[in-house]
Amino acid sequence: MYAVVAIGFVIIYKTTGIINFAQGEFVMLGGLLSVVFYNFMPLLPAIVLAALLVAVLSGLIEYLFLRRFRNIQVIKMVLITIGISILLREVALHTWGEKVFSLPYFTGDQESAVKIFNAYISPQKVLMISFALAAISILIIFFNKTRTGRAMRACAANVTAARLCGIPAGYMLTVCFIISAFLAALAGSFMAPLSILTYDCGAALSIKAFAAAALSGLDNIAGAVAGALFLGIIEAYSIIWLPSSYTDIISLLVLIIILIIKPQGVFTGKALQYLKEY
Amino acid sequence: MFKTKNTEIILFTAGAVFIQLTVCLSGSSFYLTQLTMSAYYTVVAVSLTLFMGFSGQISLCQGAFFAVGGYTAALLFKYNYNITAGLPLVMLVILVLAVMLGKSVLKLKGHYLALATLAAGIIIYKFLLSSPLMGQADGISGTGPLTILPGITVSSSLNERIFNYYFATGFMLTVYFFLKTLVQSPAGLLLKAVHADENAAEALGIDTARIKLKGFIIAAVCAGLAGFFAAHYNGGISPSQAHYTSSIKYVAIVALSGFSNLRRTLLLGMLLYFISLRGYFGVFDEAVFAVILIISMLLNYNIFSALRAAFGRTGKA
Repeated sequence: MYAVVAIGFVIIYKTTGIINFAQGEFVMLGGLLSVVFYNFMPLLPAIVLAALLVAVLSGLIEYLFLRRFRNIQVIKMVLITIGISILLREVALHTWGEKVFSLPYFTGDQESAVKIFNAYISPQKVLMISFALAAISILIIFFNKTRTGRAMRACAANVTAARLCGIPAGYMLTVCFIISAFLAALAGSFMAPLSILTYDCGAALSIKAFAAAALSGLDNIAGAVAGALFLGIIEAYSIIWLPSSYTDIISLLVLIIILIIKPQGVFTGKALQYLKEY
Repeated sequence: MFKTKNTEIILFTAGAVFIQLTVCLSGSSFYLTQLTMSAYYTVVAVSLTLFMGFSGQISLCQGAFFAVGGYTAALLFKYNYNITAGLPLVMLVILVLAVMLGKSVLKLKGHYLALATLAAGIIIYKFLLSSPLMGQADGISGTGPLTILPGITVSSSLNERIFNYYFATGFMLTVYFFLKTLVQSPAGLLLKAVHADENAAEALGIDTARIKLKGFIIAAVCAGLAGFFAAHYNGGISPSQAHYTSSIKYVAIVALSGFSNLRRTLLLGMLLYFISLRGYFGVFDEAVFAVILIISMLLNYNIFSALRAAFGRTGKA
């Protein structure tokens, strides 16, 4: 679950060097919109439509707010995305209220289980995991093999140089915002049956997904997934010796500790560390 | 605008008295309650200006310090400790917290610093929210008066509303002039040097980490003290004060004032918090502050220079 949101962070950071604090809100919007559309149409088109809408919204946000701020201080970018995230949250609050929403299970129900080796697991979780795996493999292929993906990586490495090579950098940024929001919204729909959706579930998600991404140094898709799994396991085990209301504290502490000790990420090699500025 | 600092002191004091008289004479002295709280919140915003505006760092956990100050007051009162000894104690608590936090996260920059402070703020919020000792989601209520002099107290008592108003505005103006003096002092120049170019400052032999930490601590202690008094004034404190949206509100005001303008932060803080506490923004309160934040970021630097540019006058930038 965190993995997909974490990937979204990684994509944007990889290409733009911006951390998008509104990422969790895209997850929330994706989930809530698919609940809305599910009232009018079958499940699959509802989810896709919701994801597309969120992707368009994200592209618009990038185009309207962030595009004109190439090469300005980080502080502004951060504050703008935070402002946007609060704004989206408020919009959601006034549209959907404080009610709790959820989608039905895609296949089966709460009791049904799939047997994999000796473990029983809910089919929804299997779907979620396969979705995450599929998204990751597609992205890795996209970044390494396609022209657009390579162009994006070029932008990340050096915007000016990328421009000189004829890559439309601004366009690339919009595309990457769209892709990451699309993924986030899909993740929102996929997790909707498993956990509850409220207008304010975005913030906690963003920061935890960020913790997962930070574990890998923010620019490594596979690393972000590993980080997300690690974080999920730590949270699950922390319930054993701490009250469950403290789980968020645990993952945030992990984030701070990692930022302090190894801001370059746990999986990054020594050589890379000197190339980045923290 | 003002020739000397003394004129400014006189003018601001006169302004405070003028507001009090107008409000009381027009028979709407209930406004004083919100004005008092605005003053406490403005202290937090003004102290944040020191850290964000002058040393150019970013801190998204200022609200948490306010809350911690408030909780310290509430806890002390709950366990019947000597409340007048609370003042140094609350400063100590905030100091320890700020040093711990500052030492560890301030070496980060940009996004990382923003995230680390945001995470720290959320940790404090969640901790307050989930500890039974801290009253969980209800916070701690029933915090009684803080006796300043015999018979004069910081409390929610209606009889002492006028005194409380003056105490809060007095506290606010003291912090304001203290920070103003600080900014113009050699220490303030060091802060600005860190803002302008950290590497260059380092090369000149300035201990940038230390300067940043000092700025962070001063801002935190001011916020904590404001929280301390506000908890006595409100008769309690709730964890929502530590929520990151309250911290963002402070940031929004600092951003709207153009980051490094203490006077503007003071005036806008009073104005906006008063409007917000009177409930004029209604359910859109947080959205309004978010919009303020976005707009003041989109306009180049701040709304004032944008207005000046729009009307064809040259701003001082």
